Amino acid sequence: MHPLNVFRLLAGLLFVGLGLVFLADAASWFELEVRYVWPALLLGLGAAGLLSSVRRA
Amino acid sequence: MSTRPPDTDLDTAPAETDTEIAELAGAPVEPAYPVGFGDDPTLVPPPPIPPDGVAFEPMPERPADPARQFPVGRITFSVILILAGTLGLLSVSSLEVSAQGVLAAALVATGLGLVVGAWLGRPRGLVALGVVLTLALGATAAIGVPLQGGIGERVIAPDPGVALPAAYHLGIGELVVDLSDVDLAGDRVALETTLGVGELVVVVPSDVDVEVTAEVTAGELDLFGRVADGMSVSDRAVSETPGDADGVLLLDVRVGLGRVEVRRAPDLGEA
Repeated sequence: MHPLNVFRLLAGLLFVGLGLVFLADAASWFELEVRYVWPALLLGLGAAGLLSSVRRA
Repeated sequence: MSTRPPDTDLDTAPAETDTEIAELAGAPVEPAYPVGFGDDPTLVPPPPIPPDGVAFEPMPERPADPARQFPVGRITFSVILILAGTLGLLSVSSLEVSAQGVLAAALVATGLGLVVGAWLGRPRGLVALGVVLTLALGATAAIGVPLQGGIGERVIAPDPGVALPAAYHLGIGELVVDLSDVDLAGDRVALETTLGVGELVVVVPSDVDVEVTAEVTAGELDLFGRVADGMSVSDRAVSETPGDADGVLLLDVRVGLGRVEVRRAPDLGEA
């Protein structure tokens, strides 16, 4: 194992969360508001990059 | 421009610059720029360039780090392919699997690959794949109708003696559901028909009452000649047969992008 890469960890968790939300929407467990998806994606990736940079610094 | 005569001997020429004046006065002179390795005993001059032009010996290769060599990206891509293939097979056999379901499962696998890659290996390309999958999922979800049932042109015309299924689906293409010959035998029968992208035509029997609920995310809606178009179009229509009704057909029609038409059987030949 190499030292923890925070960006990959947070981006991975973001994608897992989004994937589960889309799966739940496909299964009609709840109705997804699509307009929230791309801001959530940008916010998540940006926060992951920021935290990763801060941790590295 | 120099004011010194061209034939003047440099050693006997009068001092003109500050450095020359300081040299003549015997004071130590600080060079104005680096003058080479000889002036600094701590610096080591580079080795001479050999005739073959190779100035330095090649760097010794660092030993491979097993944690960074772990092919987590390749493994994740393979898992995604296996997952998509399995879901595709299931959709062909019995289970209804939408494109959104397959893409969402692939996105979850991508995320898990990245989480593993945070400690192990180098998951190359997985972030880009995750972004692409998320955007594709956003597009499919925006259509509002599951992309399931395949792609292409399909004409469904059930035989009179066959009971209607609960639903007909097509992902992308043209779907014609011709119920002209269906015999409801006096029953109330519900039928759902969905199309993701394309044109959907439903031809209802001439001898039954019909209650239609229709939605189009973007496109045109035509219920027994009543036309509406635009974004998020929905309509409801009740059409009673002039004579004695042989049953009631409850029709739920949904299309993402495209056109819907519901009409009586006799209209089929005029189209």
